[in-house]
Amino acid sequence: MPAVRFGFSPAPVHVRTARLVAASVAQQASLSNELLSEVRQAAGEACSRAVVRHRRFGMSALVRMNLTIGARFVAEVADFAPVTSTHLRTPVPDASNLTTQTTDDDTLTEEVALALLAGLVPDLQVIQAENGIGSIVRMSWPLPQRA
Amino acid sequence: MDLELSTTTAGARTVVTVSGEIDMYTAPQLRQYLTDLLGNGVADLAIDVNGVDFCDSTGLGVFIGALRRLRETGGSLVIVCAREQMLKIFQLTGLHKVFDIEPRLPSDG
Repeated sequence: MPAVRFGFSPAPVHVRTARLVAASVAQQASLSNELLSEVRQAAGEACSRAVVRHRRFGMSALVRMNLTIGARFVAEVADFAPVTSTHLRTPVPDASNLTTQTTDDDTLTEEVALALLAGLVPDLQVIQAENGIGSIVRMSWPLPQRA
Repeated sequence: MDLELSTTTAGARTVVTVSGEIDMYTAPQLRQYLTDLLGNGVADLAIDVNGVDFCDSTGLGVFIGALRRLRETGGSLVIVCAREQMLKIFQLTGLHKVFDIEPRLPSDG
């Protein structure tokens, strides 16, 4: 199963690179142009969230992104920051809450990123890593039917 | 692509025109630009994003921050946007119900 694994220091400038890598691999998987745009946006959101989470805890560990082309195109973005239950929820936050309740910029980014991911990606999971360290945003998209 | 910012006035309204990409890397530049404008007393603000090629959650966060601050001071914010890609991210987050989004400046006729 073709796969690309990519790691980057949790710095904002590298999020741009990560989303271009995700879009490039998705293009190799022959996703439609519309889905390519969604992959680019969603990978960027997941990576931004991971960078924010590492920054919050002062962590320099690499953010990891795994892209695989199998029955579907799967993108997984893993961070290694401590997880609380509030970091794993995926329902769309109420927009009025986004504009009134959240306080600091990083928390706002995480909330808006989750809202965008929930809207963009029908197959979305935000789960705790199996070893209990960090969280994983797992997203998948269908591949085009082959003739 | 980097971010390009410029300011004009249209009547009593200050119009910030944004072009390029608003992401985690460039959003702090936009945030500081708007903070400086609001700190200088701008109360009626429009942000024209029709030249924006890409915007992520950090960009939306900057707009939310500006809206909050203007609400606190009794000001107003209009997002000038006719681009489908940008409108989509406002709709996906439900923020289209919170922001006053117009395809063009009201004074454009």
